[in-house]
Order: sequence, then structure tokens, then C-alpha cells
Amino acid sequence: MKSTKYLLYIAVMLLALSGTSCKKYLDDGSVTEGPITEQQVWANNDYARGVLNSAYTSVPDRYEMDGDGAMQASATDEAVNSNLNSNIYTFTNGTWSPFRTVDDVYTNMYTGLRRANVFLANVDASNIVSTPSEIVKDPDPIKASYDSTVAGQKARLKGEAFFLRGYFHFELLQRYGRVVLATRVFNTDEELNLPRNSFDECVNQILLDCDSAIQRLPAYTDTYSNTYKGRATQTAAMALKSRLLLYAASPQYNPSGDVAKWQAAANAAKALIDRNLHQIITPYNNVFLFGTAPYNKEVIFSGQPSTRNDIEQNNAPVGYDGALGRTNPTQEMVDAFEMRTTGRSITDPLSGYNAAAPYTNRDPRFDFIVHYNGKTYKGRAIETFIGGRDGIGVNVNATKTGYYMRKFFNDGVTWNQQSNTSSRRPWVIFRYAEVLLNYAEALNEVSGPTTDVLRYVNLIRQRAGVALPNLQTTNPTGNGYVQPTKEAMRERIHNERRVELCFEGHRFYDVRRWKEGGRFFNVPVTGVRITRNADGTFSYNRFQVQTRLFTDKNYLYPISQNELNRSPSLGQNTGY
Amino acid sequence: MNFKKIKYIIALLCSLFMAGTVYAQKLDEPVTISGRVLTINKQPLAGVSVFKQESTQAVQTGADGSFSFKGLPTDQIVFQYTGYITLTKTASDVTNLTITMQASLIDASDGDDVYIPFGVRKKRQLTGTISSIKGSQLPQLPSSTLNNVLVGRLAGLYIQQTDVGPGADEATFLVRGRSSYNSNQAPIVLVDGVQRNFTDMDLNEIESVSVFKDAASLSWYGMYGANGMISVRTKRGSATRTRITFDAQGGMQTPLNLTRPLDAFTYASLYNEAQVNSGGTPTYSQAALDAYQNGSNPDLYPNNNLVDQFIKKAAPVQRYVATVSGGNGFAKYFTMISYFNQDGLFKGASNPTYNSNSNFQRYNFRTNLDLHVNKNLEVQVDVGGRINSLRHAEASTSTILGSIYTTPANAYPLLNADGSFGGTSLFRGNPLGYLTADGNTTDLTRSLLATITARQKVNFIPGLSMNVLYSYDIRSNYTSGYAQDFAVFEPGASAGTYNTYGTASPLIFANTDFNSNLRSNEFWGGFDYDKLFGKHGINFSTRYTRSVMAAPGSLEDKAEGLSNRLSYNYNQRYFIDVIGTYSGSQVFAPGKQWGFFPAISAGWIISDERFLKPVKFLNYLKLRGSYGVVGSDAYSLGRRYAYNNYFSRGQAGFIFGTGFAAPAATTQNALANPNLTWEKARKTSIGFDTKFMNQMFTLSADYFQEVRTDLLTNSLTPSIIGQTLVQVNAGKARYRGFETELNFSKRFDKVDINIYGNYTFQKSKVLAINEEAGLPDYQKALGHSISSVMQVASASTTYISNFLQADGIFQSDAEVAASPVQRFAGTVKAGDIKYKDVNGDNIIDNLDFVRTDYSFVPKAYYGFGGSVKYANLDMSFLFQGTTGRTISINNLVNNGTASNGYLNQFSVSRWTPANAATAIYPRLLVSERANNTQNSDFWLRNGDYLRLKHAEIGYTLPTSLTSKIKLSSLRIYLSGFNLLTFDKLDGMNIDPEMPQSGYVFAYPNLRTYSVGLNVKF
Repeated sequence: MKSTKYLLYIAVMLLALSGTSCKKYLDDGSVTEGPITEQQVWANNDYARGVLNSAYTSVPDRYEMDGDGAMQASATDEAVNSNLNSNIYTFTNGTWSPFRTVDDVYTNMYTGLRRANVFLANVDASNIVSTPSEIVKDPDPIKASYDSTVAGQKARLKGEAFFLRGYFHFELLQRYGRVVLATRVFNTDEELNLPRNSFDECVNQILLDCDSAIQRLPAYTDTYSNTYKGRATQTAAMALKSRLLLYAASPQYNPSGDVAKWQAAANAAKALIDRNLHQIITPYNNVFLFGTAPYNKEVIFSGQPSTRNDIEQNNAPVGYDGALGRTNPTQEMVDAFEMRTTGRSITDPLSGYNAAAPYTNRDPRFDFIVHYNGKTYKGRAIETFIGGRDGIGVNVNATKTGYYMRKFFNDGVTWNQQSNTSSRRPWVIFRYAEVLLNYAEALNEVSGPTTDVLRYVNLIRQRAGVALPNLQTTNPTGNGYVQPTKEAMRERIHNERRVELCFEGHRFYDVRRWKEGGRFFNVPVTGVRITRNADGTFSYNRFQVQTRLFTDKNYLYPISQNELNRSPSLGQNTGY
Repeated sequence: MNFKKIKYIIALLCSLFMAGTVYAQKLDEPVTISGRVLTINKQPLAGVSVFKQESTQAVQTGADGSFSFKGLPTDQIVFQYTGYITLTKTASDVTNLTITMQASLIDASDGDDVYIPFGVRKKRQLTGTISSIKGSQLPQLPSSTLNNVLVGRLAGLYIQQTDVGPGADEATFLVRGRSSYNSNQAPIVLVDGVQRNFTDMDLNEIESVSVFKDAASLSWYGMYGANGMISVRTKRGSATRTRITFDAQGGMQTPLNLTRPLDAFTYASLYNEAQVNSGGTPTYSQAALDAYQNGSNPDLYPNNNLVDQFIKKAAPVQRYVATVSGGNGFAKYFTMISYFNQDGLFKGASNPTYNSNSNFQRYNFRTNLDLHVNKNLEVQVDVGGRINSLRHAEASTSTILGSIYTTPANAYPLLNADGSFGGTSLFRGNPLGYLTADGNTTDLTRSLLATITARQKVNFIPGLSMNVLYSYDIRSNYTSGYAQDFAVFEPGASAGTYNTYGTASPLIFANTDFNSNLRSNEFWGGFDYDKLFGKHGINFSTRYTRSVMAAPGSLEDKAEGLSNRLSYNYNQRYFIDVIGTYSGSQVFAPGKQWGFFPAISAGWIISDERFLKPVKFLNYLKLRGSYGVVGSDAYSLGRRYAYNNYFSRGQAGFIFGTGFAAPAATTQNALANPNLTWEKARKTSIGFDTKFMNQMFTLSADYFQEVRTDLLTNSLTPSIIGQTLVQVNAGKARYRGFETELNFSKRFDKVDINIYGNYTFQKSKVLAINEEAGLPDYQKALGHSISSVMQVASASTTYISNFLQADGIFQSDAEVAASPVQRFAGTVKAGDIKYKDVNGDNIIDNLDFVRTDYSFVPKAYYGFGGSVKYANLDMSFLFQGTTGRTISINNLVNNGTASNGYLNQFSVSRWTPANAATAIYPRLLVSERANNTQNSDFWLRNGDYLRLKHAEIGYTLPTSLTSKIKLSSLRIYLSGFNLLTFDKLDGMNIDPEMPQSGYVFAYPNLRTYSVGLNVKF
């Protein structure tokens, strides 16, 4: 009995000890809790397509840049941010440097680029299968049948990847001037301390990617079936080309004023216009409200259309349910709106502007864009006068300028309530109005204010509900008169762009590419102090809200010192 | 609780026990046990206790050393005599036998057992560095964790409290020093040889606590031992004595440091000042200021002192413990049950349905059984259990405290005129709402801890035994409570109307949740061989181990290893140990999972050598040293299997289609490092133990060094790779230092005096780290100490090493203009902090930050204490302290938000033109604050402190009295914890150990006074 017991013990011990040779007890990593291997990814239709989907994550949403509701508009002469401690002011208070970066999308964009490149490198060998009904209609029957094959769908997916690659490169290019092109998957074991490509190389690569995308993508959003809407399209790639070439032709990148570049920009915009797929929709604010008409005909490409109420909560006047009142339009922004009847700037003696009633008879877009004193919002008049419920100084978040932003608002949205209402809004990246303005601007630089130039600007002014008098160069006393010079027309186009595209992230780069940083960004911004008189009328006093600093180096973003330390071959941008 | 399982275990025990009994009863008739006990010099030894192991009755040897009594042949006979080594013989051998008893050597008597991993040595035989303390030496404190009782007690063990409060007592442990910049190097904790939590145990279940510090004591644990180890042993029963004890303690806990909020008038005045400084206009009119000052209209001009209103001056705490232990030769048992109850400091935190003041209750129970199944088989069955019940308000403690500490006195009336909760759009967290109308939660955690060990002697090879240990621990968590939400109301534009913030919801039962059902098992099996060949003693142990930790829905965490140890001694004077462990970790790639961790150590009792015999005052001197390699895989890689490339499946951060659905997304994880390996700690330790002057003094000292290689460090790949990367093993760092322990014990007539102290000094240095190429030399971490300054915020703790060098405060705008431009804020004016231009480029920016050696880990930490016993009175105390430690007050002084104007109690000492010379802090600002909130040495303070951690005075009733009521002893005592603190903070009234405690968001550190009663039956 004893010996059997021993044997039993020894057996148990040996069994246990035998585990030493049996390596299986410690995992080999082939089974994981969630993640899968690269082989598994490409072997599966959903996972393989998912790699491309993940690249879309880097497409920006810029309603909120500092974790507290700041928009880039507050780093321009469009607005002031009511949180004076926001790092958005790094752009404008002279502290912007390689050691103190803001909106440094460098890593995020290269993350998107890698995802697009990983997809492009593997899609051909992947097990992607065709899924029906990705695209509802292609006018071309051959193309339509090709679209439903595996090859057709792979081609389309590649087209999306090409577009994203071009777009992410553009986001880098407009900030850093020139960058290292990421046209393949970089590996850890190769030399990645690479010098930046030249500006032209970057432009050409983006154009190439756009053209590759245009060849493979469905025409525009409506060409997609319902489930696929929102993905990259031909017109998105064409809009990117248009903006890229416009930038490349602008003084910042075209100091010699090479007209051929403007012509190329005009051609790119015209190509999109001639597709005749997009249009100016009405009313103006519906462009941004996907809650009403998602994927409307004006929006060409946008960030994801989330349903949200943070735009209102961050930006509404502070008297409304404790909103944060973040983006406060400046007096400069307000002054840019023309007079409704005359279609003239308020500085024009013939405009009919009345300083005692500054908000009457203004460009109708003013109402869509700015919450001003006396305007009705949510059933009461906004009170930005001193001592009013939304007035300067009423609390720490109150407006600094006397105005609040209204653009992008859906008035039905509520916040800080028992139950809140949200509304679907994307961050619009490309829309048709911009392409028309791109065309007019480029064409004016090529040929001066021709009828074509006027026609395309006026398309925007004619939007139903805006209906400003057409610009014309023939009747000096008539409404909407512009002197028939390239320079005068340029000013008007620039102003039209400033108003139509305000708060959409354009002004920050437009002023830079026009080389007008000193004129607009190196001067104090002002607001209006409104006092209510005993008789119920108001007095308006312009006052300086903030000083702004802009030096030549600020035309471009600095490369962060961390990045430069890792990759000294990049070289810093001039002046930093 | 899983009583079913316990029942099974008890049934199993009974059957084993029965088997043993049956086996014994089969044996022969009683025999006479007799013989003589002699000393080594053949002198008879009188008065030696001789008894059968299973009996409590002993016979004494006569004057000639002889003894005789009856017993069974299988009885174990024990020979015990003070100052001599206890002997155990089998009865059948003891027939007219001459027994030779050996006087015990120093550090080798019955009480000198030191438990090493899967073995036991006399302290004398020890070659590794292990500091131990017995449970009986630890103070009886009504404390929710055992951190508190160990602080300052052991050399080489630094315990830093990081959080306090009911159920939230947290501390970090550090053994000797820091040698890795990847973690805070938490040592592993073993309870009875198995990895378990020990801070939640009750003091009365603990026999001893040991700290394993050097390679010789740690390399047994191979890959898991590099950070040191704390080993706890629980109490076991005795075959010779049955004992019942009962302890009761009750006490009060009071906050040590607590913020003193600004009153409404001061607040409003300072707010105006801050507004004006920032270029604004005063917010509060003179009329408002007057109203705050005279309190004429509290609804419109409230003046709340929320700290007084919501924080109690004291909260009760209590603890009750009962233990029963005893046994006989076949079975010994130790049983304990304890209850602990600690209340939180929130005042007025209840409504008719529930209470939301924090409350922590804990029940501990344990039964340890030792079964002598037969002469060859010993079985131990230990079952422990614990129930923790933590009740707290639904909002986190930091949220509630944040609202109490930082809401301005004039923010709102707590209750509006109509009885609704006050609040404004800026201040929506009404503490009264949080505490009475926001629900509460009770987290109930139940743990069952079971271990079975068996030891079977292999008789055909004398000295050889087989050993098995198997543990089964489970833990689960059950959450229940009440759910409710409140809204706050701000008077609207017209009288009687209110703006509402938040969403009120009616009181309901909260969803209950049963989660974190964890199981962990360890298996250790192998052989021991212990044999004495004349003067040559050999011990060999080998163990194979596997452990697993399993939670539902995730992969198991597993470890595996083979540990071996050979000890040799000659004549109890020369000792040498060789340890070699193969250890495997699943963190690494197959083929790279296994490492070998060898260590060697030696000891020499030099005082036993002839040449030291004449040195009379020296009673004992042992030299010892060890060197070896221990590993650590305990660094966070953020994911499992970081040696393989993986893609995560999920949804894209983007939505498509008219259905606005996020499509499936496949995202690449951080790029793998297939060559990943463990940190290797090469530990050297050299020291001595000595006793002198009639063993009145005991002194130990060690010099130690650890060099750790293969530390994980960043892979400095440019971002264009577009992907994060798993770190690479390219770092190296070390610490060096020494530690010493001194003990003085003496009995003067009726007075017993014991004084002890310990001191540890350590210094760390980074020897290799991947740093960006363009970093200026003064910003490089290389060559600096590893640890940095800790900055605690409610959400996270950051560690900072790089600081600007402050040069006081600008006294005039002219001085600003004449100084290098400071590029942190748009404007810099008089009253702002001035910084030194380190690189001389006339610009102060990020290039002027300097890497420093300021550290939250002290250079030296120490403890000293003593006890005095006179007749029935006893008294003891313990001081604990640190030197060379730095704390940051940046987030205390700059605490706040734009809403409260960044004002707090420290704002009073701000710079103004009037008090320019005496100002402590820069001017007040509500915007453009970046210049004055940079991490600079302006905000650093000396974190050294000396603290009277514990003092106790007790009185034991005379036995003449206690015996009348059938008690063997009764002691009443008074004790205090965290009684006095000496620091170098110039009366700043913050806790030097946890500067945030009592401020910003954190629970105040606590002082405890208690009375206790200890009864032994």
C-alpha cells in the first residue's frame, strides 16, 4: 500500500514536471482576446474593407479644437474665443513655436496615410468579395456592371484610398508647406529620417492621387447606394484638386505670379463645375444641417455626420441654459457683411449703412451666421448689451466681442435639459460654393473681371434667401458695383469668400496664401460694447478686444521640436 | 459566500484525519519511554520538558537527567529546554536512550526561524537579505489596511501613502530603490507562499511579515522577483496550548490637513483683482462686496463655508477580532474572525432612504489546519475569506470633495428660497445635492482563499520528501445601491423663475451588477532533501510551478517555472547557497519565453573563529554577501503579445450612409517588437549581522546595488511611420545604497526597554535611455535619477523631471522689459514669475527647462521607535521619516478653473504692488495664466518629514484580578496614529507625504485615536 502511494505521488510529480518540456502552457500568441493577425485581416472581406474604413477616422472634425469648444476661426480675424485661456491663442499671441504647438495634426495625418497605404498594398491579394448594391446608378452601363464585380469594387476601394492619401497629404501641406510624402508603408527597420519633398513634388503627388481616385470612384454622393453615402467620390477628388491648385497658384506659393498656375486652378474648378452634379442649395444654413437633408447637393465631402448638440452648447449665448458662448464673431467679421439692398460694403458711402441701426438691412447671411443683440433666438431677444443676459462680463464665458456665432446652429437643438435634442451636422470639408469661388478667384487672376468671373460669384449671391444684388462692373451708381479691375474684383471675391465660407476653416489659410497675414492677422481685433439708453435705444461703441501677433514665420506651422529631434533631416520652417 | 466549497474542504479534512487515526490505532501496545538527557559535555541536564507531541502534559527530567513515562511507539517525543535546540524523537527509539541536547547557537534558537521560499532556515543560516517582523511586534491599529502598521518598521522597505479614506487607503511599496523607469516597481506580495493581497488582512491573522531584498532570496521567483517581495505568513495552531483571544478597539479619525476656503468677501475682492490684472473690469460692485461682508442678504449674496458645512471634525472607526487556536499531535488549528468598520467624513450625507457618507466594513475569517496524517505525511489546509463592503455616494469622492473645496463661497445658496438645490451655469455641482440626492453605491467584494499543502517523506532515501502546494482563490464583486439625480436651479430673470441645470430623476434602486469573477491558482510541486553528514549540512529544494489567473471573457494569465536551491553549511559556521531558476513568461515570443536566473550567496560566522573568541564584547558577527540575476516582465506594454503584429477589430470613428452607421474598422495595433525580453536585475548585496555587549545590541547593515538592463525605452522612429510602436529593450539603470538596522534590548530590574531603528539610503541613475537626438544635454535623462516629482490630479498622476528655473517674481514692468522675453503667455508683467535663461538665447521657452534630480522617492527613509514595560504598564512609539524628497505645490496653488477665477486659500499670498517684497505667489490672473503655471522650481518644496506615526500606552490588569474572572490576561490601551508631523514647509499646512490630501479633490489624511481592549482566555 505504501509503495503504491509513493508511485502515485511520483506520477503526479512527473506529470507536473513534464510541463517544463511542454511549451504549450505559456501562450504562443496565436489566440488572442480580440486582435487578429494580418493574414486573418486580408483573408476576410469585412476585415479587409475595415482597414480602409479605419483610414477615414483621420478625416477631421474641427468644431472643437482645444477640448473646450474652440474653433480655428478664433485664431483669425473672424472671431475671439470666450475662454481666454484656450490654447487656440497660441496661434495669435506670439508663443507659437516648435516647443509649443497647436493643431499639430502631423502624427494623425501620417496615421491616416499609413492606413490608406496598408490598404493599397494589400487590397489586390485580399479576399474582398463583391457586395451588391454599393452603387445605385452609374450612367455608364459598362461601368455599372463593372462596379458590381470584385475587380470593380476593389478598384473603387482603391480609389477611396487614393483620395484619402491625397487629402491627408494636403492637410499636411497647407500647414507645413512641404512634407515627406508617404506613398508606401514605412517599416521600422528602414531609415525614416527622410528630407521633405519639395512643394511641387507634394502637389504633383496629390494631383496624381486625385486623378487615380477620379478614375476609380463613383461620380458623386448620389451615385452611392444609401449605405455607402459619405464616402469619397470623383467630385471630392476634383474639389481637392481645385483647392490644391488654387493654393499653389496663390502668392504664398507662387511668388512670381505665374499665370499658368492660376489657369490650372481655374481649369480644375471648371472641370468640377462642368460635371453639373452639384448645386447651390437653399436656405443657406441647410448646407450644414444633415438633420434636414443629409448629403445635400452642395456638400461634396465632409467629416462624419454626427448627431450632436455640442455646437450649440459650446457657442450659444451664455444666457441660454448655461451655454459656453465660445466663438464670438469680431466686429471685423460683422463689418464684412454687405448691405442687402445695395450689395455694397458698409464703408461705401452709397451702401445705405446706418451706424445707429447697424444690423438692419444687412446681407441675409448675417442672420444665419451671427447672433447679435436684439436678434430672436429660442423665443427671446438676445441681450448682448452691457448688463443684458448674454452681455459682456455677465460671466466668465460671456461674449468678449458683443456677438456670438450662429452658423451651423440648428435652433431646435437643446442642451442642459432633462432630455436634450441633438441634430446631425458634419464638418463640411468641400462644398460647391467654395469651388465656384475658387473658379472665380483663379479666373479673375488670369483674365480680370470677365462675365464668367461675375457669373460664378453671383451664383452664390443669388442663392435663394440670400439674394444679394449681382456684382456688376458697368453702372458705378448701381447696386453691386465693382470697378472693372482685377484688383477691385479680387477684393470683392476675397470678401465674398470671407463671408460665404466664414468659420469653416478657410480664412486661416486664405489670408496666408494671399500673403495678407500682416494686414489682417497682425492687427487687434475689435468688438462692440452696446449700452442700452434710457429710451430703449442702443449705443454702439467699438473697442479693442485683443491684440494679435503675426510674423512672417507664421505663414506656416512649425514642425514640432520632438519630431525634428527624431528626424532632423526634415529641417525647420523658416523663422522658427 | 461559497460555503459549499468550504464544506467539501472540511469533509476532505475529516476523512484525512480519520485515516490518520485509524492508522495509529492499529499499532502495538504502549511502551515505556525512558532515558537520560545529557549536555554535549556529558553532564546531566535537569528540568528538561519531555512530552508526547500530541499531549499537553510534560514530565521534567530529574537531577540526573532521567525521565520515564508510557506512550505509543509511534508517538513523537519532544525535548525542550530554554537555550537548547528542541529535539524530536520517535517514541519507539526512546527506550533507555541517552539523549544529547545541544545548547542553541546565537540566532538559531526556536524563535529564530526565517521562512525562505519553500523552506525554513534559522536566522544564523541565512545568506540572503531578509528583514522580518513578527505580527506580535506590530501595533494594534484600527486601520483599514496593513500599509499603515508596516510604515517605518523594516529597513529597505519604503511605503508611501498615496490615498486615504474608507476603503481607499492606497500605498505604493518600494523595496530598496528604483532601477526601472517603466514602473513604480511594486514588489510582489505573497501570503503563505501564494501571490495574494495582504493589505486587507487583519493584523491578528499575521504571524510574520518579511521583505526579500537580494538576489539570493528572490531569484527563486525568476522572472517575477526583480522588484523585491513581501512575504506574509499566517498564524498556525499549537499542539501544546489552546488559546482564545478577543480584541476590541474603537476610535476616532480626524483630518490632518484641510483646505480653508475663502469667505465670500475675500473671494469677491480677489476675483476683482484678478479680473483687473487680466485687463478686465471688476465683476463685483462695492455694494456687492459690502453685502458679502455684512451678510445682509444671504439668498442673493451667499457666504457658504462648504468645508465646515460638509466635512466632519471626526469619524468613528472600530475593530473586533476573536481567535481560537490549539490542537494535538494529529491536528492543530488556528481560527480567526474579525470585523472592521470605518466611517467617512461627509456631514449631513443622508436622506430617509439611504446614507451616502462613505463607510467601509470588512469581515475577515481564517482557519489554518495542520494535519499529521501519519509519521510520513503532513497536510496543511488553510482557508481564508474576506468580505469587503464599501458604501459611498454615487458621485466619486473626488467630485464631491472638488465641489466642496473649490466652489466659491458666494457661488449660490445651497438651497434656494423655494427649497430647491442652488446652482449656476458655472457651478452645477451642489455638494448638498451630491450627498443627499444623487444615489449611493455599495461595492461588496468577496474573496475565498484556500491552500492545501502536503509533505510526504520518502523513507527509502532518508532526508528526502515530496511536496505539493495547490491554491485556489476566487474573488467576486457585487454592486448595488440607489440611483437618483438632482438638478440645480438658478434664479431666472424674473422673480420666481429658475434656470435648470442637470436632470433630476426620482429615487430608484440602482442596477445591480455582479462582476470581476476572478480565479487564481498556483501549483508548486517538487522535492526537498535535508541531511546532515557529520558537520556537513545539505539542503536541496526543487519545485516546478504553474500559476494561472482567470477571469471570464479574457485569456488566462499564466506563469511557469522551475526553481532549484542548494544550501550547504559546514559546522553551522560557513554557509553557501546556490539558486538557479528557469522561469517562463507569456509576455514574450515563443522561443524567447524562458530565462535562467542564477544567484549565489555565502555567509560566514566569523565570530566563531578562534581569532575572534578573545573579543569578549562581541557576541556574534556574521558576514554575508550575494550576487545574482532576477527578472521582471511586469512592465505595461498596453497590450498582450506585443511580440506579434495584430489588428484590432471594431467600428470606425466615422459613420456612413443614410443610416449613419459606423462600418467595421480594422486598425493596426502598435507595431510589434519580436525581440521583446524581460528586465534583468543584477543584484549585489553585502552585509553583516552582529550582536554585542551581552547581546544587548543587534546591528545589521548592508550595502546594495542593482543594475537593471533591458529596460523598455521608446523607439525613436519618426512619426511618418504612421503607427505607434512597442518599446524596445535598450535601457539601463541602477540604484545603490545601504541600509542598517539597530536594536537595543535590555531589562533593568523591573523595566524592559527596547529601542530600534532602521535607515535606508539609496540613489538611482539612468545609465541608458533612448532620447531624441536634438535634446540639449541639460534636458537629457541620462545620468540623472530615475524617479521624478509626482503631481497628483484627480484624473491622473504625472511625473515631472524637467523644470524651469525660477528667479523670483518680476517686481516691475521695467524689470520685465529688461529681461529675456518669456514665451509662455502673451503678456508678462510685474508680479509674474521670472525664469532663468538657461541656454542664453535671450528667450525663455521650452529650451530653458532643465532635467533635475528632484524626486518623490526619498534619498533616505528611516524609522525608529521603542517600547518600555514596567510592571503592568507598557508604552511604545514609532517615528518615521524621509529625507531628500521633493513635492510640488503647483496644482494646489494654481488650482481652479476659469469659473472660480483660479482662486483658493493660497491666493491671499499673491503678489500685489503693495506687498511686492513679501509675496509668496505670483499675481492673480483669470486668463493668460500660462507663464505662472509652468512646471518650475518655483513650485517645488522640500518633502522631508518626520512623523510620530504611532504611540501607545497600555495597562495589563494584575493576574490576581484577572484569574478571578477566569481570564489569563486583560489589557486596555490607548493608541494614536499620525500624531505629530515635522516638516520643512514653513507652516503651509499641507501634508508633506501627500500634498494634495485635504485640497483640490483629495480626501484629507487622517489621524486616528483609539482605545482598545485585549482579552486572553
